Amino acid sequence: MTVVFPIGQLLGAFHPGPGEESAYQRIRLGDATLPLYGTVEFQVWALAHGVGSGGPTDLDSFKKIVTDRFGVEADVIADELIQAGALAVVTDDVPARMDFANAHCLRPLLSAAAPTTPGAAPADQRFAIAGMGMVVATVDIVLLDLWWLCGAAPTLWSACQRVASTNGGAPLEILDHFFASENPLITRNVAYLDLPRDPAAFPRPTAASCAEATREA
Amino acid sequence: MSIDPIIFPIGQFGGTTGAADDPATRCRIRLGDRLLMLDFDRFRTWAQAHGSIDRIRPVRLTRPALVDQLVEGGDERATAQEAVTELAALGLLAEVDSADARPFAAGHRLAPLMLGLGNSAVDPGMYELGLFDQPMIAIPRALCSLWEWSDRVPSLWAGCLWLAAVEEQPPQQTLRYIIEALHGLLAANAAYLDVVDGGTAAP
Repeated sequence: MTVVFPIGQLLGAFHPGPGEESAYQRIRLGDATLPLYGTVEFQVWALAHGVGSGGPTDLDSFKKIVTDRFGVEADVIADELIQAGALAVVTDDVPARMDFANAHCLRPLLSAAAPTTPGAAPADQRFAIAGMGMVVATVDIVLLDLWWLCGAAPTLWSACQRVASTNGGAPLEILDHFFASENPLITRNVAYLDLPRDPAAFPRPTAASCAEATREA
Repeated sequence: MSIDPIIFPIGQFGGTTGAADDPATRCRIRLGDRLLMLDFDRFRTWAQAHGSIDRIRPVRLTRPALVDQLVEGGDERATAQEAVTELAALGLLAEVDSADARPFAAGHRLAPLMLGLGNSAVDPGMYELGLFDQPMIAIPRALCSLWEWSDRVPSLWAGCLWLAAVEEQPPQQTLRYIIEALHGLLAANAAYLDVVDGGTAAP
């Protein structure tokens, strides 16, 4: 199955002035911000987080859903987002998955993870990731540790290596688990995928911020 | 007159290992590449150092203020003081002189833990953070800029240098502003502080 992932950190709608309509939604994609204009561009990116299943979105199903919902224009927009790197398409083979994992990093969101089944056998244990007093996602120990340890890992692959060295198992098994259909990390917005950091490249004079956006408006 | 340093919690909470009423349960904190296990008493001290939403403005959280809060919560003063000292030694609490915060800012980084929800149509200078369609806090533009880019910059100081250039301010002035505003982000769990990549948790 060829799957699609959304890439980037959601920064939200930008209103240029008091009482004015939102001009666009912004996401940060590596060291650049990407404006998503109109409802469709943003909805296509948002729908790539998950379209009903608990895991990565099958590309064919995704394209059918966005075109059913927004018309044929959405298919073109999806391709443009893929071109821009805001959507990543990964084919179902080990080299493609590893290329993806080396070319992207995973970053955690929310906090307060606790076991929902204390006392259960390790394989059956589930953990809640929560925010604002609500359980947002329930995950197994492998995904919990991927969520926990990815913040210090330069790439998704290095995060898989770290989880494997902490919990046992092989990094590729961890990566396969990330790709599995039960993975709610992306679907439930408790983590996001991004491009790896390049500290040597910072600061980038072209990096746009909300401060600059406000100033330009 | 000297002012007590501000105290910050460092590290990312990774959940508890078992039931809250089980004395064997530990609370996991990741500090850079180090994975630490705290008992509930130590964890409560670390969590309290985040501040609380309703106390962001009136309380400038310092070691004495943190100890006072723990005592208000039922701890013996000596126990609370010992816990704070122990966590500081582990690098899980950092005390920062806001007049000279550069060493702290160069050794630590900020990372977001919420979604950006954009600026308000009513007050475009304020930016909301939260869950999807559920705002938790609203923060000013400059603080939000730093938050948005925090995962891309190598340290809090590097972020302040960048923000100072954008805002056309002296970097030290920007840093003082950020240090005074940080508890607002931490109390809401909208971000966490960590050591810089490859850094050690220097107390």
